[in-house]
Amino acid sequence: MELRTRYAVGAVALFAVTTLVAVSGAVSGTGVRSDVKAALLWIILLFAALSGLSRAFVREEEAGTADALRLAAPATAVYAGKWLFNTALVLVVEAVSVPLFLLALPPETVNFRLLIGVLLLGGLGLSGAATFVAALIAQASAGKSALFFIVAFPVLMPLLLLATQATVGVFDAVPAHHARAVGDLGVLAAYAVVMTAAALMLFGYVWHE
Amino acid sequence: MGGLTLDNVTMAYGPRVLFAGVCAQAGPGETLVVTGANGAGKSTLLKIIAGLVRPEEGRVRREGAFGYAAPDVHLYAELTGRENLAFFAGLRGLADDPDALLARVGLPRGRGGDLVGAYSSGMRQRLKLAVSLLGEPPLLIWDEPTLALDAAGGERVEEILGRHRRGGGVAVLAANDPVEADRWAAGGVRLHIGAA
Repeated sequence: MELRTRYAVGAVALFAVTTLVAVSGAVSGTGVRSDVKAALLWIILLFAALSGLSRAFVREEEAGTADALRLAAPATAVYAGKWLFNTALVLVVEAVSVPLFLLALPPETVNFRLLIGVLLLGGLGLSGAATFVAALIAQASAGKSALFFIVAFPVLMPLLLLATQATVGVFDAVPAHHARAVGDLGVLAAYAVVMTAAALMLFGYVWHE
Repeated sequence: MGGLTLDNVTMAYGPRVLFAGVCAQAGPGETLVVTGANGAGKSTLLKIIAGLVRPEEGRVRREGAFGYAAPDVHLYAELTGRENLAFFAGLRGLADDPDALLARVGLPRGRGGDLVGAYSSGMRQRLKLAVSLLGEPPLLIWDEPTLALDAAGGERVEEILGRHRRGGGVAVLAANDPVEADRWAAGGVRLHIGAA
């Protein structure tokens, strides 16, 4: 369905590119530090992804297809399907945004292997947590978009801080930052596993009345 | 074969009691027709039977799989009729022939390849009934099955219900039209619900 409508991918890609252009226009040529670049990258990725991730369940409730889905498949299968789609969406956002970001705001150095690890694990954690939050707010009667950001923010804050910190190690040549980034990969992986496992266990209570 | 027992089912939204102490039973070959005024809770009762809503009190016992169709349950507008059937069949591990089901509910074969978003309300209703027939479930839970259907569609519904009953299936139907309710309840069970 998304391949036919391309609504989520289009909205997310547009958000990412627009934000990137605005940020690079504002700060390029001003000698931005690696830690600021890392933070900017993850702000762009986070908000671009969040603009599309809530649709996974909100769309089902608004279109009236949620009950048909509830009757047709077990809750864990529904969550897994939505999580896989959201993970693919996040990875597409990263694949589009990150190369453009590196061109617009080239860092001092780039450790590509570490970068891929941070993006992959950060993306998995982002989609795992955001998919569950999307299910939580989808049945709200009004203000779903605002509610999604309000509920997602405290859940995703640890991920944002970790991923930003790890990306600093990707973008500069300080050995201590690099070593810390390698350690951060383990914590990012743990966040992704814990979030996804918790979501799988709790989703049934959220999905069924 | 399917069977259904409602045991003291009560539903309330806050202080407003929709219905209380509803008891009914329907065995193989029987039809349970639920009637009541607008807002009495007919659709809610059918949702409780389908497991979509939890009652305040009481229990529902269903035997076997069921198919559900209701006015507020929609299918995917971005998929074709055939794709909707294949999608829901795939989720349940069923291998029904989509074209056979479309023919059974009277949807023209050529329209099976059109997006549901382009269907009329009557065509969407036929498709919903087709989805509910996937796997030939022993229990059919249909809320206003003839809604938006033309006379030919109404006859199809009667044919499907008649065949379902003769095969030992159980049907739970909600009806606003008293003539339909009388016809479906002939030889079956009529359940009139309202406020406690």
